[in-house]
Amino acid sequence: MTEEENLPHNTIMLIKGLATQAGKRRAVRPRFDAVLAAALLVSFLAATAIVLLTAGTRPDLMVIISTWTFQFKVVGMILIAVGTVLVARHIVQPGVPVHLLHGLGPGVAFLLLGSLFDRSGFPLLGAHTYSVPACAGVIILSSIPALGAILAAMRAGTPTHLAQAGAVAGLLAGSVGALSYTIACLNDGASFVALWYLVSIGIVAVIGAITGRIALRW
Amino acid sequence: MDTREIRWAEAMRAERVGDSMAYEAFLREFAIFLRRLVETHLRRTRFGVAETEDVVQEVLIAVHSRRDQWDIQRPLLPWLNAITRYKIIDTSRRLGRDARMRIDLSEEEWARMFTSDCINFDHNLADAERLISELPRKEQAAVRTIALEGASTGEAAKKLGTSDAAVRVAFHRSLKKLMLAAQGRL
Repeated sequence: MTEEENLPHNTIMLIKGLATQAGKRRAVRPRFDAVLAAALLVSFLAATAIVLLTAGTRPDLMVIISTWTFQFKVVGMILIAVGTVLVARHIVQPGVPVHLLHGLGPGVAFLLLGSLFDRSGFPLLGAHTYSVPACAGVIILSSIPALGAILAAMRAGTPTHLAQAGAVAGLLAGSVGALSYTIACLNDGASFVALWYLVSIGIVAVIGAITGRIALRW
Repeated sequence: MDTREIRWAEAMRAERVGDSMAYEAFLREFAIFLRRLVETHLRRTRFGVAETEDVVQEVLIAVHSRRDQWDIQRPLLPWLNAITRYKIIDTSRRLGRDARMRIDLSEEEWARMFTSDCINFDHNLADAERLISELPRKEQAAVRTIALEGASTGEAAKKLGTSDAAVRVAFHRSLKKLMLAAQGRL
């Protein structure tokens, strides 16, 4: 190829150097899936510890654990977490299209349907004046270590849209935090859960987008 | 389908079984393609030829260091595209910051530029030593052996017990870091 004359000497030297490494593998890089699984485990334990230290479990936990109001929260958060994991697996691969709505759709739809059919009459702003700030505060706080662990896990992959990848890490961290918070949450209204849990997760996603731009650089 | 997709993907698969000829041919072709792309991109900014080369090399190293992560089942061009786009943006942002830093000197720093201190050889050597000592260990060794002791990359590789290519990459990377560090502390 005559065009090769276009390349300056030092670039050609670099290429020659890189080419000699063909087929040579460094120690096997850990797979993203495995790293993410470990990060999620750490995230969940840390989030639960923070919930226990700040809010504690609700006194009647053993009674309500078998009720639909409790399970509604748990199922909703697991759906969002699983959907976000699927998105996260794509977002760390360069050039693979990401469908955030497909990932979040089932969880959000489940929460909205739940609040639509909720006849309990529990107030949207919670049982107490401090319900909303306490709920959002504990969810966000317990998501912070999770966010750190998930961002660190993402570095095992190759994210190329850092703010987006950070936001996805935030969504996942937020849903882990919210899942842990279900053991403390005193508000059983489905619309309270749908609205304020999602708002809290959204705030963690914004924090993730901002920190991801720096933390995910490579 | 794009013939480039077929040819380049084939070369990337050949790389996995150690075909360095095919890999080198791909890297060269990709580098030429990259240069045109980067030139067009940087023309809109105020950077010149040196920066183009910088960005091209950054992309080549990025593709090389992440090559294991390309999923053979997926098309290669979108993968290369995404990495290239990211590295062009990331590097030109960094270059922009450097450019600003080079101009953004305080009164005191401007004044210091004209004092004889700057061209004092001993001072420069001490400065260089301090900058080198902040590099990662492997890169430090590469710079010391090649730049300060004057060894060839082959000799350096033998001395440091690694491959020729690894030394080249380490040297190349550390030079870049040193230049950045030096500009930052002008």
